[in-house]
Amino acid sequence: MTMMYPFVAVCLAGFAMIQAIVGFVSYRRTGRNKMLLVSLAFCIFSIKGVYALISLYTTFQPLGVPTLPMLVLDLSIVALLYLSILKE
Amino acid sequence: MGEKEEALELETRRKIFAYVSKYPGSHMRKIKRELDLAMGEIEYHLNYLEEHGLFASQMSGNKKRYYVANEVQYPDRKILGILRQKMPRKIILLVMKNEIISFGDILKELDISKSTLSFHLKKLIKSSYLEVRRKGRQKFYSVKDQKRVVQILITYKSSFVDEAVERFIDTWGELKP
Repeated sequence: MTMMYPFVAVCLAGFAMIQAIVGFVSYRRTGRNKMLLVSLAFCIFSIKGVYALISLYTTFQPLGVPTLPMLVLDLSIVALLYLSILKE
Repeated sequence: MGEKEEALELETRRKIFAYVSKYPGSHMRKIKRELDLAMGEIEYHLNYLEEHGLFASQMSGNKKRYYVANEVQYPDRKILGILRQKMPRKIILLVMKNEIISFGDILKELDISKSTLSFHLKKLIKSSYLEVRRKGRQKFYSVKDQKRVVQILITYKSSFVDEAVERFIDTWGELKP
């Protein structure tokens, strides 16, 4: 597998984790459950990125190894949502 | 005064406060020079900050030097958590501007839904910085301790996280199916 795969997986985990944390802080400040739900969604994306990395380098593959195109799609979604909170 | 002008005034006061906190004992001309403000503007804001108990001044020769007043209490985390968000800040500024304002009038001024406004008002009332009075079927809101709210709005330091959180709330908070 090329270096592209771990790179995409790390970016996915990272971007999603940042948004999960920002979402959780938003929940703490506003108390709105909606923020917690969005934060959890990003947390799951982040877990998916971490799982892709683990499954690539270890034999822990209970759900198989996610394909690169699927990871790229996930990263695109998360990166676009990340941009939406950076830009006015 | 428009909402934009008010926000700019608040921003200028926050800048002046941050500068004097960093360089206590600065005099008016120095603050003016460093922050690139007009003389009348700096004079107006310094007087405002002194009147609201944020600054103390002392004459030294022919110069008036400014310091952060001893009685300035930095805000507690709970109220900061609320006022760091754009919408509650807008609401409290609007209420302060009008002294007393009805629910309907706030709704007219701000482009938000009834439920969002109720949500923010409840939080502000719970934090004890806003009070509500009923007159017939209408509810009227006013700021309980205006001096304290002004202090909080000027003294809090916003960070990158605050901005990210604010945008996150703006993006996700208003979404409805």
